[in-house]
Amino acid sequence: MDIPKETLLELYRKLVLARKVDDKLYELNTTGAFTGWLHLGAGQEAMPVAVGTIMRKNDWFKSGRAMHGQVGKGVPTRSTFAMMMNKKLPEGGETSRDYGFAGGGTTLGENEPILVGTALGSKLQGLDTITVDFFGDGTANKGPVHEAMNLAAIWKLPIVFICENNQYAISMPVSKAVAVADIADRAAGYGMPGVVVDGNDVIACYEVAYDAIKRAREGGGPSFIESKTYRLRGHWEGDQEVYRSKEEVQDAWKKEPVGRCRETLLKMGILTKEDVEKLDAETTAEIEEAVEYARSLPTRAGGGMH
Amino acid sequence: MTTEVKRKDITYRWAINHAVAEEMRRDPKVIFYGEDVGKHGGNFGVSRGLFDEFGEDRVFDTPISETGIVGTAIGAAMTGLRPVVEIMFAGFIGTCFDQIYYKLSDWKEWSGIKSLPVVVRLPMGGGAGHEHSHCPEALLIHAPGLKVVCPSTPYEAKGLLKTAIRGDDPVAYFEHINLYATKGPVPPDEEILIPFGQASIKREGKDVTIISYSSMVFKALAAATKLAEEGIEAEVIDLRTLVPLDEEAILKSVEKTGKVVIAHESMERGGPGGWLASIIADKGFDYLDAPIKVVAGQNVTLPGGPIDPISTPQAPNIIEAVKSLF
Repeated sequence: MDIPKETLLELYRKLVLARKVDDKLYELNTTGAFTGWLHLGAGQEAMPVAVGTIMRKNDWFKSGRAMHGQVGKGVPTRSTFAMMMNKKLPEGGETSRDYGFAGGGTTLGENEPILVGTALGSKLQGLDTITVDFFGDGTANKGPVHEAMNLAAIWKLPIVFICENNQYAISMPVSKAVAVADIADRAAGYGMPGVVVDGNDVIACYEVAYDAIKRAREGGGPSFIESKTYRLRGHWEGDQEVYRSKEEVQDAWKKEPVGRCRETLLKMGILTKEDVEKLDAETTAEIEEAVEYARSLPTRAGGGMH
Repeated sequence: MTTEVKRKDITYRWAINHAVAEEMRRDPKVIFYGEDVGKHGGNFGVSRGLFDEFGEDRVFDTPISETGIVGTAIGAAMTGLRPVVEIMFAGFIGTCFDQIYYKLSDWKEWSGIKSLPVVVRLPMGGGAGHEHSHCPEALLIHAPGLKVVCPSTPYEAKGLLKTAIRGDDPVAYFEHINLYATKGPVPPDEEILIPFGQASIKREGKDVTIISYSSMVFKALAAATKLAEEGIEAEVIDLRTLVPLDEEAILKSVEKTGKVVIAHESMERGGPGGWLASIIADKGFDYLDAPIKVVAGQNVTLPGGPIDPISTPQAPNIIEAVKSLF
C-alpha cells in the first residue's frame, strides 16, 4: 500500500521514542526513581507503533510489552512516566485510559475476554470503535484466549487479536509450547482470517494492521495477526537468561526494528541524516522533559495501569 | 408473560424475572446474557419471556464459556452497557474464578474507572449434585471489591436485584435454587428497591439470635417455631447482603439476647460463619452469655444430588445448637 510520507516519518519517530522510553525506564529503575519488577520491550516496537498510529484515540486497546502501545497510541510521554513512577497527574492530565487503554489485569490470558467485551459493547451500541488486543506466544496457550477468540468469531466482533511471538515466554521457547510453526494457523479454526507478519518490519506491520482494523471497523468481524519478533532483553530486568545463548541475542539485535526502519527510510529518501539527528535530539529532549515533569508530581496513593 | 402481573403473591423465580424485565424497560443499556437464557428461558426458567420482549440484541445466549461470559461483561460495561449475566450454577465459579475474584473485584481500582455496573447471577444450593450445588459465597466475600447478595424471599429477591442492576458496583447475586418455587407477596405496582447493607429481622425474640441468609432463613424460622413451643424465643436475622454487612443489626440483637447461632448452608470450614463470629466476639464480647455457635454444612464433599441434605444443616441442627447455649 501507499503509505503517506508523514505517516512513515511518524512511525519512525515513534519507534525511536519507544526504544528511548524503554531505555529510560531501565535507567530510572536501576537508579531508584521507582521500584518494582521491570519488564522492558526492546525489539518489539514495530507492531504496537504501527497499530497505535492507525487506531483512533477512542479505540480500545490492550498493549503487549512495555510502553510501546502507549507510545504508538500517542499517550503523552509525561503521562507514561508519571504512571511508571507512580505519580499523580493533575486534574485534566490524560492517562492511557483516555486513549482507550482497556487492559488492567496481570494474569495472562484473562484480559482477552474483557477486550472482546469492549468489542461487544461497541457493536451492540452501533459505535464504530474497534478493539485491538495484544498478547504473547506464551499467553496464546491460555484457556480464556480460546473462549475469547471463539466469542469474537461467532459474534463477528470488531476486534483484532495480535499475537506477538517474541520466541520466548520467560524461558520457554515457543517451539516447545506450540506444536505448529505458526500460531496464526489457529485463526482458521475459529473462523477468522489469520496472517503472519515480520514483526520487525514496521511497514509490513502497518499494512497488515491497516487491513485488519479496516475489516473490523467496516463490520467484517475479527482478525488474527501473528507478529514474528524477538525479545531482545530478558523477560524482566534481572533475568539471567540462562535459557538462550548470547550469540542468538546478538544476532537478533542485527534485525531489530528501529535501525531497520531508519535504513529503509534513508534508502527511500524519506529520511535524511539531518532528519535522523534532529529526531534523535527531539525525542531525547521530550523524554528528559517528561521525566522532570513526572518527578515534580506528588506520589499517588494507589497503583494501577492508568 | 413478563408484563401483566395481577397476582400479589408470586414466586421467587418470577420476582427475579420481573426485576430484570423492569430494569431493562427502564434503561436501554441493561443487557442480559448467559447459557440457555434466551429462547430456552434459562435452565431454571428464570428468564422466560425476556427474549420475546427484548430481542436478541439485549437478551442472548452464549456458548459454554463462563470466563467469556464474565469477562465480556466487564468490557461491555466499560463501553457504557449494564450487563446482567448468568453463571448457570454458582458451583461453576471455579471455571471463571479469575474473572470474578480478580478482574470483577479489582477492575475499578486497578483501571481507574468510576463505574462497573456488572451483576453476575449465581444460582446456588439445590441438591443438583457435585460441583453444581455448592454455596461458594465465602470465596467472594474474600474479594475486596464485590458486593455479595443472598436474598431469601421473592420480595427481597426483586428489590435487591433491582438495586444491584441500578448500582455502579459489581455484584455477585446468589439466588437459591431451592427457593425458586417459593411464593411471597410482591406488590406489582410498587417500585421495590432494597438497599444493600440492611438486614431484615424476620422474627423478633429475646432469648437467642439466629443469624442466617438465603434458604437457611426458612430453616431458622422453622427452628424458631419449634423452640417457641419450649419457651425459647428466637430472633431470626436475615442478613440479605453479606457485603456490605449490617453489623449494627447483628450487634443490636446480640446485645438483647446474649446468645448467637449463625446458620448457613455452605461448608463450615472457611465459611462465612467464622468471619461473622469473629466480628461478634470482637465487638459484642460484653453482650455474650455463651459461646457463639456456627451451624453449617459438614466439611465433606457434597454427596451428590438428592442426598445433599445429609451434609447440609437442617432445622433440627439449629435447634440443637440453640439448646446447647442454655
